[in-house]
Amino acid sequence: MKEKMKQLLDSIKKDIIYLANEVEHALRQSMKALEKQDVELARMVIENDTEIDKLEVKIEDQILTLMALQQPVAIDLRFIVAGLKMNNDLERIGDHAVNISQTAIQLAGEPYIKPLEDLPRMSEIACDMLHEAVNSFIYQDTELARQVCARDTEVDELYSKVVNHLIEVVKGKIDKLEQAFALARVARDLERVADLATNLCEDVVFMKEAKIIRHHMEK
Amino acid sequence: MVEVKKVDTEVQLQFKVPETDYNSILEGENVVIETLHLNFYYTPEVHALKAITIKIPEKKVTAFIGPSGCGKSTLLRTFNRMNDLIPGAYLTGKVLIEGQDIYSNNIRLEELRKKVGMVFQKSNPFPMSIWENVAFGPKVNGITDKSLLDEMVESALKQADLWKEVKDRLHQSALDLSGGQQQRLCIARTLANKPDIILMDEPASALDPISTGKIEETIEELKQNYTIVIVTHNMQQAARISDYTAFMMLGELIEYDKTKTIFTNPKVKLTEDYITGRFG
Repeated sequence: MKEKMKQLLDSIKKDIIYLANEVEHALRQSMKALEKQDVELARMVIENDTEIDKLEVKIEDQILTLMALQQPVAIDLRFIVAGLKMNNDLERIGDHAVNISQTAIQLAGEPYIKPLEDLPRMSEIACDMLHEAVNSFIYQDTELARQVCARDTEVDELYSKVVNHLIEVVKGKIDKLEQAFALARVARDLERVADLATNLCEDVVFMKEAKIIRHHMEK
Repeated sequence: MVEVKKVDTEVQLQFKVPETDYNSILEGENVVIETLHLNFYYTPEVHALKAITIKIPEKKVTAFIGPSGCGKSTLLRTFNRMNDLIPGAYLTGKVLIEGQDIYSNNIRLEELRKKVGMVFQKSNPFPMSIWENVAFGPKVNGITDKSLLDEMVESALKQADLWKEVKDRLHQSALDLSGGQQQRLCIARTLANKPDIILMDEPASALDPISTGKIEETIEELKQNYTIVIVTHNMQQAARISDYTAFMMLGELIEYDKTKTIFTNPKVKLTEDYITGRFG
């Protein structure tokens, strides 16, 4: 491979991994803020999102420049196209961490209608999926990527469970409707994070094997 | 020598383009080549360069692109006065290399060509051994010490990324080398004269993609120590290897900017139309 292209690709890969780590940290911190009702921590997550946004713009710029100047082909082209999509998805996960942090601030002053149990479990799985998705990218491990995709149903099931449970709880406590909505939003955020982690893994498979597995296209 | 006419006529430019902000584009760079309102005429009717004012930075790769006949090779050749032998040609304006007007009377052409080396489209090794080809320039310049010449040959061949391939057959004919190797030999021959600036006129256009890649990597290495100006009709090549790009059209400089800007967000529509293949 041409040395210059290799350097540029390595730099982009390094930045995507850094972005992924920042996003995973933001997500874990936002859930911690929700569980501990820690307003200060939630605010930090929201403030730090600007750095995540800047990094996303920087990576996009690097990718566009590389496409315009170096004309990547084959594996390099797939890497760069997948990288562009992953960059976008990671930034969106950062936005979900911000949403959760905003909910944490909103609910900080009131006791929860029920102990948070399923949401932290959802979060643990979603964060784990994200973490492993990034590992599959780092090590180009498509078997791991496929395993992560398979876990999405776990999160989907938990999401339904959380929402149904909240509906049941709020039936007797109509004054807690607002809180129930807010917690359902968090469940929705976590469900989306798991979807986006799945997208990342689908991109890893595309990059390594040139196969499209999204939309259940892999038989 | 090409005649330098002191009196300049008002030049009517065909294209209205915004003025280039060299201070901003070349911020932090050291300018080594500069032309001031340069006009070049092959004959009074053939006005090949029109009021070209351009600045070229040190130890960077600057590419000239544009359709055939746009004047890019003519401009390149004014930098070491390769146009001198064309009967009837003349110019107005100035070409400064490190601040010195190279068309002034006190310029010694041998010194200029030593300082500003050139590599051509078609490799042109002399019909002699690889060693003799590279040692030719230093020998002409009076170096006779064999061990010193050996050192210079080795150094030049290493810089041109050819040493490993030829070190065991330095005394074989240069004509036995492949096309790509011959071109890198020509680069080595230029480097042996210890130039500051290397002009390259389509250096890879006659080569296969692998040899082209090697030349491009060599250029990437060379810019650490040399200023390189390259003419290429291969836009992708300009994009890959250059730091700055000048787009020319019908003898006029249309746009000059960082290569990244030219290829991602050119300011002049004509440039965009050319690099996107809408004409040319």
